[in-house]
Amino acid sequence: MKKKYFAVPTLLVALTVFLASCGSTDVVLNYSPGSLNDILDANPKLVVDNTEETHYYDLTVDGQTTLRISHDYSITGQEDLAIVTPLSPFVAAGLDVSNLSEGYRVDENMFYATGSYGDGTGLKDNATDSLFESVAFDRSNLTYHEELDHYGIVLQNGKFEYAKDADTNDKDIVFVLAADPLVALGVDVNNVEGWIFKTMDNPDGTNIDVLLKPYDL
Amino acid sequence: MNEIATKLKRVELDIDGMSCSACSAAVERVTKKLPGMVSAGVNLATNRGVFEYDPRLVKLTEIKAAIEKAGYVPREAHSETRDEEQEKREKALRMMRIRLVIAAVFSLPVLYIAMAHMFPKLGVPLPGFMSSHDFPLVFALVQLFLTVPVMLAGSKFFTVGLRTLVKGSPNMDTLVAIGTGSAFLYGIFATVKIYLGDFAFAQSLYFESAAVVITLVMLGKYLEAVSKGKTSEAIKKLLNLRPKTAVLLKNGIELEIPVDEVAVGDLVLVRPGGIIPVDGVVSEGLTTVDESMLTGESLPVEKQPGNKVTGGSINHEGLVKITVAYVGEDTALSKIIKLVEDAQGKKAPIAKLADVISGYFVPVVLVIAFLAAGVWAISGQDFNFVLTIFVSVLVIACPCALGLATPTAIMTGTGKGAELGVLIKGGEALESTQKITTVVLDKTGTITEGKPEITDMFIFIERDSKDILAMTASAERGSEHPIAKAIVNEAIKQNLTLSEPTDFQAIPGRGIQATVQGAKILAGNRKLMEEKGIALDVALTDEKELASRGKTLMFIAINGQMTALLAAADKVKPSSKEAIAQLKKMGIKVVMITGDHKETALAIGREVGIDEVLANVLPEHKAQEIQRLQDQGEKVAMVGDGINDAPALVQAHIGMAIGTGTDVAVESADIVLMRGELTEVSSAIALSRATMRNIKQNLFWAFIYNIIGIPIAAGGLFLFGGPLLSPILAGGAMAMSSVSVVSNALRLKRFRLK
Repeated sequence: MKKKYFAVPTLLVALTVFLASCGSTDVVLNYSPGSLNDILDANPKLVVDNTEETHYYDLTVDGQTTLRISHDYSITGQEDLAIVTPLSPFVAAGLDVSNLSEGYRVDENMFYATGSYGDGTGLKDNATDSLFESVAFDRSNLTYHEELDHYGIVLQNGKFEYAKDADTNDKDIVFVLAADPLVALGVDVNNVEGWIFKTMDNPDGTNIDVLLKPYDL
Repeated sequence: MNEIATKLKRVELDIDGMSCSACSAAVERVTKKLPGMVSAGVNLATNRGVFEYDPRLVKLTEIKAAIEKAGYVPREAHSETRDEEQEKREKALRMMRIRLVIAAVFSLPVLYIAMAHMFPKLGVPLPGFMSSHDFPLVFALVQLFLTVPVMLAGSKFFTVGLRTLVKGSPNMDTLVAIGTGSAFLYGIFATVKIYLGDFAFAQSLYFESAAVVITLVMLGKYLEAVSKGKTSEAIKKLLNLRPKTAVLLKNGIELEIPVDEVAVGDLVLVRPGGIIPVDGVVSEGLTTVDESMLTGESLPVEKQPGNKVTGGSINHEGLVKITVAYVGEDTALSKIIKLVEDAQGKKAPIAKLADVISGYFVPVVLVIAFLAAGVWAISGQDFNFVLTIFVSVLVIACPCALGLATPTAIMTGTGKGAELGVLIKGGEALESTQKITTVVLDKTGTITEGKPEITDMFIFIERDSKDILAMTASAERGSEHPIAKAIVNEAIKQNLTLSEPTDFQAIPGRGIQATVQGAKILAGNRKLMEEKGIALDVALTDEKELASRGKTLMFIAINGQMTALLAAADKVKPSSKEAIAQLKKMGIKVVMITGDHKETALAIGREVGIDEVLANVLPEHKAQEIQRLQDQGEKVAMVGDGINDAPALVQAHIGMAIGTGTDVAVESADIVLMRGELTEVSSAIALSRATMRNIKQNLFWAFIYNIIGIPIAAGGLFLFGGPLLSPILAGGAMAMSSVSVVSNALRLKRFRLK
């Protein structure tokens, strides 16, 4: 009888471990690429394939703020993903470009919030598969934001979010930049033109200040 | 009528599967519908039903079938020995504990996992792979797998609850089953939805509600069972008094044999410190005996050859041999156990309201739950809100508290009474006793010892008083009258030699006449002397003086000449005065009733502090006097000990018999005072008042709990901007309501007469 009492919890612990490791139970991972594909299929002009020239897909709504996605993480040394946005609003808000920390870079006109995820699994032939190389590197780079019904791909100092169901969501694509590192770089986060400052709730109960640029497609 | 009465049968059935008063009400309902069923009473606290039926119209198998059809399992009571019953009860309690531990072990992690993300600011850690946001299906499946063992541990709620629902007599288990079952099924539905990609369902799984509610209800049921066991501790204590073996003396050899094998007439040996195994008479040896467990009297009682001893009492320092008089079910202890058991199974009238409500309670709660959920759904609330309302209403409703309020208090009260030497024969007696406004006390044997002694002797001729006493005692040897016995005892005390009388004749209501050593003796009252033409002149002065002192007189004439006047007095029991003062302090009118003439009665009345005395009342008129008091609006308790008191004991609202009195009196009474002391009358009334107060408290809280709890669970507070009650809090409140009722009843165990 006593053996049974020990057997049941042991079985349950084993079952839990199995569930956790079992890919088919990771419904967020299973469903999230499909949602992005749905958005991209519905909006074919959203992604510009520059892989031949730059090895990146560029996902942009307004032609200015863009998510750059490497099609082969092993050859894009500088960054595998990056939110690229015009530099001038940040400079105008106080950004000290001479002292950028890790996860940021700038060029003449653009400000980059970057992410690097190792060498990846090789060449990918579409933007979605390329984007999810970051998740293959580390599953925690994929999130689900229940409040907005968004999936998110985590960059070092930002996030790219997209609607789980674009048909019902009024924020189909959202670029997110963490505010605190920018504040450390001298940016007045309340006054960055084109970006919305907001304090968001994290699932772990903490708050995070962010700059958002949402798009309704 | 009598013919029918003799043909009625009575059966006691243990009924398994009852969990609340709705169950006991259902069993009563279905059995009362049977043709030929005279009465059906089911006690939830003992899980036992008593059915009286006409076997010509209904068979026992049909009664059992009706109970089974209602969803319960009947077993004939006493088909097992008490030890087996005890073992079975303990095993059931052990199983309850194991199931509770299993449920608790699995529901705690479910609660932790489910609630952790709701209180993120508390910093409650949860492994990343169980995050409700990023791994919602794992989050749901882990809870599902942890909840399954809890549902299995609480499977009885579903088997019994659904079975009784199908049979049309839903009970508390039905509410729990529907409530937690809905939550669990919704959890599975939500899990499927998550699997299909609707992750929002991770925030409304309800597995924790199902698991924790079941665990809390199980905890409540377990605590209730433990407490219920304590209410019958008095019986256990009495049962533990019975030794398993006895030392039989046969042909000078000591044999230790099982007590069941001891026969009437056997001689048994009881060593110092041993328990007297059966009822009997001391045939050899001197000792003192502790009868406290039987009578509540703490002082040991001296025993010598010829004295009666009771099985279960403890022999102190002497080695005694006892001739067995009663064995088995005929012993006083067995009768007491039976009486207390029967009493604990009998309902008090105050329980009727709770019983009636219990019969409708569960269906009404089901309707309220559906209505509340429906109204909130129509008002536009989402499905999660509606489900929360539905589950909360079902699990907060607690018919158990209603059902337990009365029987647990009665069990504890009657058990406490037994410990104090006050045997109360059921809830009705207990309830009626608290309403008593007048106590009528029989004089002889109740206020007094009932053993008159000779106090005075006046001689009117020139003859030695010892001769006269010896002759009178010889003449009275054949008489059963207490005064005659007092004369014989006095002669024995003075070591006088008694002769055998001839021509003995008892003259009812007068006295006796007999011939002793050729002398014609007449002994009796004034009437006898007058009828026999004896001149009483010489005795007139003494007669008047003795009568004024309350003495009972006996005139003695030898050979037609007034010879002597004997006076006897019955000593007042040492505790009578104090007991009467206690009753008066409680606001109760005390009346003495006696067949003695007025002077004697008034003298005793003055001695003990009784103002109202009913004297010269013939035995057959005692009941009429009680009736007269009742007609004046008094609630009357009659306390007596003799056969002649039986009609009055029956006529009174409450009959209290002195336990040392006759069997007829004991059987006619509602309450038996085992110690034979009048102080037990006030104990009985005070205990009755305390028990009824306790029952009223229990019923009040049980009603209030449901009256307040159900509307809150139905969203009453939310309607006015307050919070919505979670099913977990509802389940916890429900569990605690019945525990609090039983705990309150257990307070009676601490009853002390102030």
